Amino acid sequence: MEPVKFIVGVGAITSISGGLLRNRGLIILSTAVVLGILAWRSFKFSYPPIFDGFDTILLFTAVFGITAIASKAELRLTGFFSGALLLGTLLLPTEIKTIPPIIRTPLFFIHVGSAILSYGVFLSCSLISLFNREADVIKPFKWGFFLFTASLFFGALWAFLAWGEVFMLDPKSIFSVGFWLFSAFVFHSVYDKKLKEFSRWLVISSGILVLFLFLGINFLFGGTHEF
Amino acid sequence: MNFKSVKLLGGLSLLFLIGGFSVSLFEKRVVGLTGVLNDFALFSTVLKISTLIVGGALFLISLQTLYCRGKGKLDVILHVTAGLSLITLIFIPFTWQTKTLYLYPYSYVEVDKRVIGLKGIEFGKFGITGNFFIEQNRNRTEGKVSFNRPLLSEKGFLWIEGVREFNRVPAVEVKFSPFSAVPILFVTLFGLFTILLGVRLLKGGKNVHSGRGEGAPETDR
Repeated sequence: MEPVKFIVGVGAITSISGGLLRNRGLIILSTAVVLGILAWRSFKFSYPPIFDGFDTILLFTAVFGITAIASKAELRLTGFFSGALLLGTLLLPTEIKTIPPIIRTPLFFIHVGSAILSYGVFLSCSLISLFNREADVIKPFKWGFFLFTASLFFGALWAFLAWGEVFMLDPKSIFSVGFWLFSAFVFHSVYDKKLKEFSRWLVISSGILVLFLFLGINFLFGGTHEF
Repeated sequence: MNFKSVKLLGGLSLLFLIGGFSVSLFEKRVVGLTGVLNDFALFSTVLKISTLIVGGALFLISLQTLYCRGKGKLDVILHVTAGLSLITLIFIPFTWQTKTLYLYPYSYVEVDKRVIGLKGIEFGKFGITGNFFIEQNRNRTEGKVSFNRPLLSEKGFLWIEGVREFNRVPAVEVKFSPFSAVPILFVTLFGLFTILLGVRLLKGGKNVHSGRGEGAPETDR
C-alpha cells in the first residue's frame, strides 16, 4: 500500500471513530491530517495538485470537515461522511495530472484553487442542510461566497493579462456569474421573513447548481474552461 | 414593486441564469466582451434576445445593489463597489474594443493612427515572446510581450494570441486595443469589493438589512 493511502486510511478511521464517539477532537485531527497530506503533496509536486480526483476529494473532505465544525453540524454525520469520502479516495489513483508550464502561474492556481474551495464550501453547506436541519450554515455559506468572488476576481485579472478580456460569453463564465448572483440571493434570503422559511432549501439547491457548474457545464456545452 | 425586495434579486438572478443557459445553447463560438458589439449583428434573433436578457438582468441587479447599500460606512462602500463594478462590466462592450492583427517578424502595421511593429520573436519553455513597439506621433514605446505578460502603455495595449504559419513563415497573432481605463477600473472596483467582502466577513457584527425592513417589503409581511 502506498504511504499516502495508508495515512488517508488512518484519517478515515480517526474520522469514523470521531463520529461514533461524537468526539469533535478526533474529527478535527482527521481534518488536520488531510490538510497535512495536501500541503505535503503541494510541496512535493511544486504546485497544488487540485486537478485530479484523489486530491480534489481530499480537499473536499477537509473543506467539509471545517464547514461542519463551523456550522456546529451533528458530529455523527460529520465523522461518518468525512470517513466515507476518505475511504472512497483509497480506490483512486494518486498520480497527478500535469499542468502545462505556460499556464502554471500564481493567478491560475489562485483562480482555480479558490473556485474549488468555494465549491467545497457550497456543497458542504448543502449536504449539512439536507441531513441536519438545526445546523447554521449561512455563515460558512457567506465564506463560500467570498471564496467564489475571489475566484471570479482572479479569473478576470488573469483573463485581462493573458487574453485581453475580463469576461467571455463562455458557458462556464456565464453560469459562474449566474451562480454568484444566486448565492448572493441565498444568503440575503434570511433577511426576508417569508423567504427565511425556504433558506434551507435554497442552500440545498445551491449544492445542485454547484455540481452542475463543476461537472456538468463543460460536459454539456464545452468552452474555454475545458481542462 | 419594492426595489429593495430580496425576491426581486432572486427573480433577476433566475432570469440571468435562464438567459445564460440560452446564450450557451445558441452561441456558436466563444465571444469576449470586447467583441460582442462587433459580432452582435451576426447573432441569431434568439441569441440577441438572450444576450439582452443577460445584460438587462445584470444591469437591474447592479442598480438594486447600489440602491440597497445599507447604513454603515463599510456596507455602503461594499455595495457601491459591487454595483459599480457590475455596471462597468456591462459597459465594457460599448467602451473598449480590440482588434486582432497578424505580424511577421520585422514587420509593422498601422492601426488607429498608431504604428505597431514586431522587432523579433523568441521561443522558450513558456511559449513565444515577441519584442514589440507601438509608435504614436513619432513617440515610441517598446516592450516584450508573451502569454500572461501584455504590453500596457498609454499608447495602447498588446497581447499575444498565438502563432500561425503563412508560407512557412511564422506570423504572430496579436490583439491590440487603444488605451482604455474601463478594464482597469473594472478590475480595481471588483478587487476592492473582494477585499472589502473579506473584511466585512471577518468583522461580522450587525447585518445591513436588520431593523430597516430592507429585503422584507411591507406587502410581503
